[in-house]
Amino acid sequence: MPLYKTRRDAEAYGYCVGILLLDYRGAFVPGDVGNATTYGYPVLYKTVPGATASRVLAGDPELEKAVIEAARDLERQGVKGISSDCGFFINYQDVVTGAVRVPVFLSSLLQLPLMSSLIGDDRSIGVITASSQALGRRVLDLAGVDSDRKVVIRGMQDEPEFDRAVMKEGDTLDTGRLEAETVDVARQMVREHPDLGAILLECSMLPPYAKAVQEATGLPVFDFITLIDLFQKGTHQKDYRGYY
Amino acid sequence: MTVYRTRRSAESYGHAVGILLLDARLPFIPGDVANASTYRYPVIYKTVPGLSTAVCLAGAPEFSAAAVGAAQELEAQGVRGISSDCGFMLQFQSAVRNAVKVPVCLSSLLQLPLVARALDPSRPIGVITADSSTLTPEFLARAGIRVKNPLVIRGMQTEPEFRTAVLGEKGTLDSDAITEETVAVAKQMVQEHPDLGAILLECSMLPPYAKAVQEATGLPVFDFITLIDYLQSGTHQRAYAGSY
Repeated sequence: MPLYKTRRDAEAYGYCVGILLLDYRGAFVPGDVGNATTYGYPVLYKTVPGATASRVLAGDPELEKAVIEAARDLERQGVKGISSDCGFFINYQDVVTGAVRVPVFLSSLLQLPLMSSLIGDDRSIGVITASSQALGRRVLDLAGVDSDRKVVIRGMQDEPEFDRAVMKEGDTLDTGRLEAETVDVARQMVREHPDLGAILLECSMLPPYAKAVQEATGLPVFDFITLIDLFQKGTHQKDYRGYY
Repeated sequence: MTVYRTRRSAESYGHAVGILLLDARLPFIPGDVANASTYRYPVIYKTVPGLSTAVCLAGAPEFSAAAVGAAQELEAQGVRGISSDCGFMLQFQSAVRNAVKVPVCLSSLLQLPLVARALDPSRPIGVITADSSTLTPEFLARAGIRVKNPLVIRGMQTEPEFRTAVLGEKGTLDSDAITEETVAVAKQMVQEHPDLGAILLECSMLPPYAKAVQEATGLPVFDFITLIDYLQSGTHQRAYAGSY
């Protein structure tokens, strides 16, 4: 007979993954990291107070304590792994792994080395990010991508709907327009770099358009959801009931 | 209206992932990489002729061309990604990914850097492999796999049922006995390294026991299936139909 122990910090149980959130208000549509129906399993959200997008993009060291505290809070509630809703939380990846026991995968960008190991040496990786200014060599080094791999970076910051709805925290978000903008950016990238071998969507608000990007380019597309799903599977192994 | 083009090399269509197989005859039970009911999507298999388990584990550069040829056949049939049923096929990873256009992950071991990055570098990672005498840090380094975390590598080659059923190909496999053996190896590893952060199952015949290992140790457990599922999710992005 299993004996369960009360977790004094837990309000409720059964959350697979904990997700740190920017201190931000936007329209998180289905497919967004910040929409609970995106997943085939329950997730638990925790806003990091004061974590505005601009501070996280810059990696403000004064946020470290609040990020760690939020991650520890999620861990105490019983989540089996911790992610976030902004690829630039990679700035806090190492301090959080040092502060909790469960696996930590704060950024979609952490997939870059694995993606790099799956494709030919002469192929490049395309990254579509919220802000191409913020995604420079320093951040690529944090992700651990080897310097031999060509990485092409394109930002969404100049696309009108992305700028209005996402960057400026608009009251509405038009998924039709955002999809068209994302697909345009991806197509342009493939035109300029026909050697592209895979695309990574850095931003947690772009997975809803991953399928459209894949259909337009014919390329593998990795994003926050492919990463979170991988760690959910590794932390929640299953029974196999197949055939022989 | 969509116009589809015939693939002259394809017998049938819709296979998500192509999987290279060792030239071995063994009971591949549900959960095994080589059991089609392990996946929620169709896979297609292709044996590399002459590449026996013993030859592959010992290191077989002379089979590189055969592995490339089999991968190219799978690609011509339309798969969107290529994997294999032996972690030691890591030795062909570079040759194969440079010979096809689709992403390639021939070995469960390719997950090591990402798993390591999700943990504090002081925490050891346990690897349970078919044969620890040939899975050495040098073998990993030759394939470009380097992690900061200490690796604890344990082999199944001395476990009686695994040795006779898998390495000895005796014609039957007792899954309860292998569950016990795998769990015992994992528990022993945790006893010797209480700070273990995660376990990776190298061997393609061990995923059926991943859940038992997880329940016995409380640790994240990664295996061939978590990686193949990852490859499938990045090459088959989905539409999200959640709520808002």
